Amino acid sequence: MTELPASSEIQAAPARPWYVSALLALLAVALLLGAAWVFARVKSPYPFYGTAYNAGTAAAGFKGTDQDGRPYAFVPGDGNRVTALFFGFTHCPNICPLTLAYLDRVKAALPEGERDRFQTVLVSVDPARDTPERLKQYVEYFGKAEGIRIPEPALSEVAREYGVGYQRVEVGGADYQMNHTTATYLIDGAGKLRLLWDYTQLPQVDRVVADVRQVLETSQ
Amino acid sequence: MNTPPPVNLDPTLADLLIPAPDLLFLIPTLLVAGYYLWRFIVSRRSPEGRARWPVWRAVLFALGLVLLLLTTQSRAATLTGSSMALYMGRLMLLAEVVPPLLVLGIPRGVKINPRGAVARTLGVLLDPWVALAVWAAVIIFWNVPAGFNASVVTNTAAALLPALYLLSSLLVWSVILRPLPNVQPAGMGSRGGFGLLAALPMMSVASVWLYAPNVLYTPYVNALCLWNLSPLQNQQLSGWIMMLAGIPALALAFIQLFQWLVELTGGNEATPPT
Repeated sequence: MTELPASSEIQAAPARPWYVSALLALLAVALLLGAAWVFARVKSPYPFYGTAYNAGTAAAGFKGTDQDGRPYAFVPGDGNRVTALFFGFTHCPNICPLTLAYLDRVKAALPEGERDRFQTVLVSVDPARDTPERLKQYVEYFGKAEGIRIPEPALSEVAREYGVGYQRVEVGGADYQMNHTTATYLIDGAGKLRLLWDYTQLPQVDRVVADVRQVLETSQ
Repeated sequence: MNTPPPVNLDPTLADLLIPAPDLLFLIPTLLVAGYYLWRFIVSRRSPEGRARWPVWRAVLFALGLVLLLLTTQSRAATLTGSSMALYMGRLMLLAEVVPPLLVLGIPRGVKINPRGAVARTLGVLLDPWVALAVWAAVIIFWNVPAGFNASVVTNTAAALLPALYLLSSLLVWSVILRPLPNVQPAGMGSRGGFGLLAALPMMSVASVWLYAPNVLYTPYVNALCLWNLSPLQNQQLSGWIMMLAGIPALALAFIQLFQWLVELTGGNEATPPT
């Protein structure tokens, strides 16, 4: 960038015909959308339905008590298993039961050989009310999942590792509710966070299944 | 996407401004800042240079860069999944506040060889048709719900969208303010018309958000929102933010159109001697 002498006359460029401008505009939009597509494919060669994490993002492990009252340790990728992890609570009226039900349908849709390598883990964000007994009842009613109770302050540490938020909300004339992040995190057999689905994406089970199968195949 | 940061549901302004470096923006911003500073210092050596490049332009440019850094290098950028209003406020700063400040910071009389590659490239990018099409594509493709939920969009939105808002809006504001007249043929009337058209996609989206009775974007339907706002309140607040952010550009477009009309009717001509 250089500056003109003060006395210089600025010559305006001649206007191009409108149809040339229109053609250039179409080309620019095609280039823009094409570049976005290329960016998405470079970031994640497979077109995941969920939002992909950057490669190599490690998932955090945690310890708690399972629905049978036994000590439970989540080691990401243990046994080359792929894990769908979400945070919820058993008094949840809609999102948590639906999430469990959809993830159960995802598991059922997997080929038999792959089904055993996929597990669902629910971490309770309401350890005060979610006893192992209650968790057992809940996860078995809505499908087959591990229900994990982690007492505070360890729970908030685990939630922070996954970027999960939760807060107690008093409901007039009723027991309290918990507001919480509704994402489900998919962790591969190597212990890496691969993607997340918002709960509103889960009803498209076939697309979720495709994501899970891709992660199962690429984390042998 | 990196591992998300912890969700603090009631962040203060100080929390939002905690540094969170994003090299995609930081490195180009620092390079541009360094180049601008160098050229500004060089221009101070002559009276002509000082006249072409007054201090107020450098102040506006610096203000634009500071806002750009605050918007892209702070924790606010990482909390947008929990607040549509924060998300939109950030994008509107990048689209409607930072670009005019940067464009106004460009000194007048910048000489570019009209036959050179730079002039030809700028001539295409600053063509009102091209700028309008790119801007509309960014607004529509990444904001219309069907597009918002598509695989490409969800996987590029966080990383690409702030840059796209900034760059496409720089094109729009450059057409409106015309900082490089020797590669920008557009006159006052076409700039005013262009500004009016460029404001329409944003104003339309803002109106829909303001008056929609339901949350339109599935990622926000049950999002855990900051500051105890409901998702619908967040959406309506986003509509207000987008609408208010678009008003200066819209007002400028009307001024340019009226100025063009005044010129057209000879209203600016000197009174002939009697």
